[in-house]
Amino acid sequence: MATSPDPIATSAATLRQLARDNQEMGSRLAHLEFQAMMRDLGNPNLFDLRIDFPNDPGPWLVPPVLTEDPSSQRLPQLNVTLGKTAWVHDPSSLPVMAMFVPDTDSLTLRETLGALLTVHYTRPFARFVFLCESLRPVPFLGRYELTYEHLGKLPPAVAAKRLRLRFGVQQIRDLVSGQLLWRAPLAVATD
Amino acid sequence: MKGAGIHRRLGLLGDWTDPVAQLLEDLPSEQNTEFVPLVDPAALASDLDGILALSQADALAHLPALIASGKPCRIVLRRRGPANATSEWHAGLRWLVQCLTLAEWTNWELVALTEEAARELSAEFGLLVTPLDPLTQIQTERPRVAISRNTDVISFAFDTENGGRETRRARLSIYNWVRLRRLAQLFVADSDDPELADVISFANGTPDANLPASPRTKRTPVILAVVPNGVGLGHVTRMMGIARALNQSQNARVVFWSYSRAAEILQAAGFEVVLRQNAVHLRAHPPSWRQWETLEFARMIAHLKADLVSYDGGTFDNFVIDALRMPGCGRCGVLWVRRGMLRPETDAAMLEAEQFCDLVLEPGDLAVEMDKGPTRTKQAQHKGFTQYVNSPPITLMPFLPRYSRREAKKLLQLGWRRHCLISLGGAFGDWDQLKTLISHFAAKNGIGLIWAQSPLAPPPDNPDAATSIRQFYPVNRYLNAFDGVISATGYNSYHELMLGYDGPVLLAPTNNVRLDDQVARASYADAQGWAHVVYSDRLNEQARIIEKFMQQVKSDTRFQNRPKTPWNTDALSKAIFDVCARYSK
Repeated sequence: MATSPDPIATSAATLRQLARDNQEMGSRLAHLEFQAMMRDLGNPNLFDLRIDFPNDPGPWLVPPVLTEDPSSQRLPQLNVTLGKTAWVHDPSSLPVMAMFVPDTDSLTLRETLGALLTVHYTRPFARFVFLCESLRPVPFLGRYELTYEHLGKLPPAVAAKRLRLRFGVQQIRDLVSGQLLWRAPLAVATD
Repeated sequence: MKGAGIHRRLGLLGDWTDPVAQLLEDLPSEQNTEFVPLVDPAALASDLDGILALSQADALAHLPALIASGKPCRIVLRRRGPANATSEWHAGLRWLVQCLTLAEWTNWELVALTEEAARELSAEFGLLVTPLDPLTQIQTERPRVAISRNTDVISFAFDTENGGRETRRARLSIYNWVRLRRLAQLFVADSDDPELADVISFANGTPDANLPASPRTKRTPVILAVVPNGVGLGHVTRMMGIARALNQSQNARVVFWSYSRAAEILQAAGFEVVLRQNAVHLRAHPPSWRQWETLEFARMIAHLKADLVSYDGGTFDNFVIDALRMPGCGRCGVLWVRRGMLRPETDAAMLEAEQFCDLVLEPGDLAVEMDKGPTRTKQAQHKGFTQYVNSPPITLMPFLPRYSRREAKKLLQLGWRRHCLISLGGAFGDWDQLKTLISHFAAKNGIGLIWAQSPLAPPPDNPDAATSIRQFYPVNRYLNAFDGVISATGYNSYHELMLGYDGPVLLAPTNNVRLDDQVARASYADAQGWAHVVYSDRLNEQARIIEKFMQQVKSDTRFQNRPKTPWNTDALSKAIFDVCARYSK
């Protein structure tokens, strides 16, 4: 006699199958995105959009200091994306690191981003918040679903307190030199 | 550390949406005060110059922390609310008075919202209660609105310009009362509610000519413009057009709060930019993300002393409205720049956001006759106090000088052969067929193809050898370099081409359901003989149309029948500055 399948067992099997598919397809998709990104970074004009307005650029706006507001201490931490070019089973298990992206020449920018994001693809070790001194890298970073902030002239160490609250940033490094610019106090970092 | 222009920081203990917390901003004595909502008693020890407890209940709940803070504290005593709450009210005040007496704490002051309330409370409890300074009465003519605790919906009627009478509705809870009192004369609906009567009396202010007024220091208007992350650059470009008009008219300061990754363009155009990422960008829990946006947006409104927040997009996110309700953010109007030509199936519920606004601005669309979307066919149930203004089509064209053909060709390093510009959106049915046909007929007619790559997009995959890719913005400045244009049919490119270009145009409306009704817009141009159109669902006719277009490019055909609509920005600027003026005094 034919019996209808147990819907609970079927659902569990479907979920297991989807999880397997996700693991397999996730890494394949990341590979394709990584290839696209490397092609993008190979374009010498990647960061050289010809923007042509007959005026001076707008001034940098000094932001109000959020962390002076007691309410800011109760704000929930926000997710930091892993980006489309990497895949791990549980991105939230990776620590959050901020990379200061200085307003440097296009070649340096392409090379240093390429080096970092290649490591990020092969062996993800952190989720990154890119702290951009200029707005030039933003379309590129957004295209690959990376997290960014525009600092302008705000020194990274001054921005650190807010970034710690917003994203749980544990350290800030300079993308080009690799220099450590700020680290969360140990007592806070381990709480 | 206090921000620029801030003389003192006042902590507000209690519900920050309490009308009294909001109304303090309008006191002449508090013009340079930063209001800090206190949600945590531990925060009372932070860098504050004083604390104001918004009611006796708030003071009682946190009295030990208030005393421990050592800060000067004022406690607003409220008279009783509706009749059935009398005993609790009486007990609460008695407890507070006893606690204050026993605590041997002297750094406090009791205040009430009106003179009458101060007299009654002093007599009842035997302590000195002084009235808060009154607010200056708003003198402009405005509708009368009844306020009741029993409903969040307010309704009012007013005379229309054509001699009729119109009734409007809105939700009370969306307003900061500093804003509300400029929009309406308030009166209490329940005669047996002294507490609410005091709040409304305080909000309406005192018609005393000797009171100091509280106008903002004379300065140019400040506008905080929110631009969403659109599929293309439509919101950014249109808002820049409006901002340029406001710059020219009154040297307004326009700061962009940009979710668009094209923020570099805004900065290059001369504007200050705050770059943001939305919850989708961050894959963040939307309520958590919204808490951040609310607080940081409110800080920016207060920091800039913005007169107006503008939003160009389909729907408001609640963070804008929540931020405007925060203490210190009430002297700020709301402008919604809402393009028409939405798809007919668009949910009309989006119109309900009209109630948030002072002004809804609809940028004109040459194809308005074809508009079957809800902005044309439906009405909001809740319109609030909003006024409506339609403008001629808005573009950046009037503000950007165009290069001559020679200059543009030189800057783009194009030779003197014929060139066709391709500027297309991402979605168009069988994209490969369209691309193949364009390349085929361009080659057949000896026309070079220049692909304008979006600043937001990667280079197209596998471009053929005959196609040259360039990244440049704004495209409009370089149009003279081209003998024909193939374009998507977004608002900006459509109007820039139809109003400011006389070469052959081939429109390829996108079928992206997130976007406006580009097919309707394109078909209007087709019917007027302004442009050729290739439709994604009419494969059989594409070759014939593209061939004809390329022949016209080759023969240097000019279209003199396109409309010539001058953009007079005076009415638009006046409507916007009238809103700014409402909140600057």
